[in-house]
Amino acid sequence: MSSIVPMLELSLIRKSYGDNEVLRGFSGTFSAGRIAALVGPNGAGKTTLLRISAGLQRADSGLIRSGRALYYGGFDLLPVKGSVDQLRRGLGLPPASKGGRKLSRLSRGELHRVGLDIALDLVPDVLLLDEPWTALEPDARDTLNIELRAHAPNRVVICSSHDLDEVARVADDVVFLAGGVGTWKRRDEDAAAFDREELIRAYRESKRTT
Amino acid sequence: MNEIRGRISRFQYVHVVGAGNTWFVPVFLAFAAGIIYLRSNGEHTSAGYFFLCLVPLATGTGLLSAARRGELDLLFGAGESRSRLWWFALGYAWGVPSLMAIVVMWLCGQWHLADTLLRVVAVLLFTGGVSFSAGLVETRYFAGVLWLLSRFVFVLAPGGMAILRQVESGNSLPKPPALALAVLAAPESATSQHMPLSYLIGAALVGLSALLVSHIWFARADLGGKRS
Repeated sequence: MSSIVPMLELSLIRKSYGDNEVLRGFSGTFSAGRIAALVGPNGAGKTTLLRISAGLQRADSGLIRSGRALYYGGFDLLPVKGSVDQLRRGLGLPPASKGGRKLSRLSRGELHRVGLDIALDLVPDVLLLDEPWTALEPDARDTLNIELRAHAPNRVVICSSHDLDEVARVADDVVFLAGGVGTWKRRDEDAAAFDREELIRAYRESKRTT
Repeated sequence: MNEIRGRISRFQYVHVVGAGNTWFVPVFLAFAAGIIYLRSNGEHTSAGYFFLCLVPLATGTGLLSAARRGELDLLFGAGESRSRLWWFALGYAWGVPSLMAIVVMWLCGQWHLADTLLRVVAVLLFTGGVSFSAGLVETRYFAGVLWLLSRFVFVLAPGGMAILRQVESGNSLPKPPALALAVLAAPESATSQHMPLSYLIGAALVGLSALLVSHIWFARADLGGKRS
């Protein structure tokens, strides 16, 4: 058993799609024990940054140091053939309750929950969730937040989202991604949660300055 | 959080993604049963060559397209490497059908094992290597179908059948361009003992090169998820 505390280090990450440079030297260190939220306008490069962190996409330049990273991008990236348990068995996971259900017959919310359960059960060093609260009912969001908090102590957790309510409730750090770079905001140690209005102001400010 | 993971089952995951070609198993069983039945009645068949033509169809997986769509994200997140997955896909999509082809040809009794096995393997490397590599993308069966059609066109063309007959008989072999065309359009013709070995070696090298390129392609691909 390794005693090394997982972390994710990104240094001067650049990525372009043709003429559109979405990441312009993003740098940051994400540590275990803290839940980070990646926030930014559409097209800011949140998904790209997460996929690069997971080794799925290639950065044009920059350095990445990471443990085993898992990216989960939502129900529309899941395979839809076979059953829930067949998908789980393929990943070396034990059967789930109601695991015999066909993936193609599940609702979006149910499918998303299946994907989130798998992502959490695989216990990666670095858990990268893209829009994790989308398509979840309020109770399921609460459950997910509790699970993320339980997952966080020994692992890096990063969630990208437009949902500042959930971000304010669960995040320890918020990274505003705009103009290809990140602006960090840390939650006060004595505060239970971020102030939502403060987050909105910071978000708008980060958009204005880029 | 409990560590409750077992071993990854690539076979299971590839099946759920839809990148496996299980249809080839009943095709093989039907061929094998038919050949055994014919031979038990004392009849000979050249079905082995036809089966050899079907191998490129079985090698298409669409695995790279599935990875680009993001359907393999969880598998990679579970610790699977791209290189290991590529090797698994090669074994599953090319190795197994190739073994089946060898068994079918052996059942047909069309060749002496020691003498022709290397030729068959070289042809399988050529056809399988190229079609496996081309079949990593969405149009997974395109190369296999194209190759199947090319055989028909070659055989139906006035000169094509004549070239094949010359190769088969070994009397006055066609000129090098015609031989190269035969290997390209109807690779199974290279299993004939009269086909010069240099053409087989060349074909096998083309197949190996295609495999090498596809491995690099798969290992370095930018898997953009929804963007792809």
